[in-house]
Amino acid sequence: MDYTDTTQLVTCCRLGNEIAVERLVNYYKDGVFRLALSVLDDAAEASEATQDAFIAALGALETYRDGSSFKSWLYTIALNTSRSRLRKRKTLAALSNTLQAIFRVQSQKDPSPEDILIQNEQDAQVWEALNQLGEKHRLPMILRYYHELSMAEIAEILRINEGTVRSRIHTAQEKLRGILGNEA
Amino acid sequence: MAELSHQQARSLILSAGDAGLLPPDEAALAAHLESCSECQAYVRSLEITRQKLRNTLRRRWDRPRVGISFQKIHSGVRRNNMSKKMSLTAGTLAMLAVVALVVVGLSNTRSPQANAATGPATLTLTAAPTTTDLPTPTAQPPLDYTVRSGDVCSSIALAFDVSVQSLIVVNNLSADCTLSVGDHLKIPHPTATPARATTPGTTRTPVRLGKGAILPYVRWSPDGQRLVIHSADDLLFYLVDRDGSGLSRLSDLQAWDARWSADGRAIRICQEQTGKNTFKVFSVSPAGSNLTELPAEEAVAAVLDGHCPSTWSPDRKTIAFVKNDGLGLYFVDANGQNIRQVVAPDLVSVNVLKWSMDSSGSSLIFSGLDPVKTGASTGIYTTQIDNAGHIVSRTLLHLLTVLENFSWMLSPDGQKIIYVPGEPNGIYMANVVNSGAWTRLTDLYVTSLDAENLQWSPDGSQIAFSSNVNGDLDIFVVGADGTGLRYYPNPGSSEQPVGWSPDGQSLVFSAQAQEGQTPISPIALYLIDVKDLTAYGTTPTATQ
Repeated sequence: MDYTDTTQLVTCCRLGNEIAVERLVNYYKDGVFRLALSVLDDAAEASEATQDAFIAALGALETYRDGSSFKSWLYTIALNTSRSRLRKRKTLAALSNTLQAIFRVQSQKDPSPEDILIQNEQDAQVWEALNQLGEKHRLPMILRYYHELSMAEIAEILRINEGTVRSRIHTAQEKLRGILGNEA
Repeated sequence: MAELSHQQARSLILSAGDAGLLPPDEAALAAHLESCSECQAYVRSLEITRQKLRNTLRRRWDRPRVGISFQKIHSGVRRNNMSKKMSLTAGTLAMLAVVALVVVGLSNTRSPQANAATGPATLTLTAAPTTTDLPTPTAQPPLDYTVRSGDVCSSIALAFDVSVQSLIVVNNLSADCTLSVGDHLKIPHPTATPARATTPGTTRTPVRLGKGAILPYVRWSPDGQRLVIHSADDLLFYLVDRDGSGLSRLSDLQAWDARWSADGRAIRICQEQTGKNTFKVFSVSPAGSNLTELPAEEAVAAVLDGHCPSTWSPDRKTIAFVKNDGLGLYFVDANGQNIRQVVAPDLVSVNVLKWSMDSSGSSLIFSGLDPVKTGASTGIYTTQIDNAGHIVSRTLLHLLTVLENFSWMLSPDGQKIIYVPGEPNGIYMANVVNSGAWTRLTDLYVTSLDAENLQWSPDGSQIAFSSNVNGDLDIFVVGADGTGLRYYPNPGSSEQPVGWSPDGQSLVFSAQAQEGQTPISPIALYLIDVKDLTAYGTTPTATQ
């Protein structure tokens, strides 16, 4: 979807055209869902947060400025709805959820049991290391290396300076490299 | 093509992974990598780290599929639009009710007390509409609120600028604040977070600066009477008087930084052109008039003086700055011409620097990553540099871990360093020249992440910081000699210092209500006079 497409769709959504709404939702729903998932780490909750995000965004379309990045604008909203869900969760519930999730990780290609064990160990190690970073460093890393967003987009979504994004990502990378070791 | 030093190569490698390189840099890096096995290993280990991260996250998150219902989205949007229309225009059915309200409203104007009861809720709403909060506050927010689909306690609390805790208490909700669509909620009077703290000895409550969500950032006018603050809701700059009054919008420019001119008659707004790594700089009067774009050379100087970590040479002829990506140290003439890289940039990820004069001439102090030592050694260095950019000598003052790279601050005169180590706890201070011995200023628990917010008072006699020794972050101030520890106790909310007034009498701090470890309100800014802080415990002895 190019720039004019989005602008037209947004205009139609503003006017209450439900077909346009469905097209817009269809186009962005996977990205928004992955973002919610990377905050909440729970598919059911992430789906609800995705729904929340679209309702919020569609209701606030008049505040979106034409010409600015719609994706960044939408992602900022999605990040907020996801985080407010996260806040609701009790610390203990989140902890047990996370611990369970680590041992529930499944591979896509049905590899041998041995492979699964090694992969799970590695994943658990990376996940653990990522959690050690703290939200401040973890979020930019996830947005960069899972969502493959540019530094400018991350800056816009998190509402921090681009230089700050860079330095946080550099710091986080060095830290991860330190924790995970250098071996291949 | 000039040959790359080992260090230059490392710096390029870090950038390459993030943003790509210019063709000449890419060629130079390729040439260097061909002959340098150490750098090849560095590239590999960085790439492996990134790949491991990607793989883990993909295995974790790529598989689940989103389950949403268009029906729910449509009805949610319709309900939102409906309630907006209801509150803005009067439908035929609502007409009678509206007339009745107007009559009540008219009779209320004769009763100041009745007005006071309904007034505060409207006063605290954001001036500009927030783009991100659910529900969108309408022009006349009700003191009773009906829960709609998609609402959660925190979104309602955010929209009305109240705390979740107060919603729970006033409405007698369960501790996890479970809501059902159609519930009627009483919206409590918005509580300015720090105002809740009334401690013995504190005579005045802090002054709130601005409305809605504010970024933790202020720029004082040179005369110390007004402040530029930055709204997190619309990313616009606002001006506010020191006593919290006179809030006005500076301009319609969304930007990252705004700085006062030295005479206080203009404010420069630096706007980063997204994705282009360039800047535009505008000048505007404090009254919000005479908005003009600055010519390129002035813009460079203004940006370098404010936007990037940068510092002027003592003779005001040269500016040293770190590029926006945090890599490499550069000099530029004060007129914005002649940008040059400091010869032999030993370090990457250079973070803070200060140019100071001492008996031996000019010296630069900065922390940076030394890539030669397997990427893990960071240090605070003092470096003698001549104006051509040649490093005459370099001394390692203190070795840091990577995460501590940001956790130190120079005193305003550049003679002292305060520093928060990862372990053990506390804030330490040392002289820049003849250092070696670190004095412990306080043993309060301060993490190296909080240390980004260490603030020297303008005269260097006091240091503001935050510590979570009481459960959540509180503001503390300690004398540079380790005595006179004071604080602002405020349970249920986290405070961090943002900046001292130029006269050193007042401190601006950010406050955010929180539940456990998670913030539940937008960030608000407050100003408190340092004399109104409460003495904390016994004065710790300054020890090694």
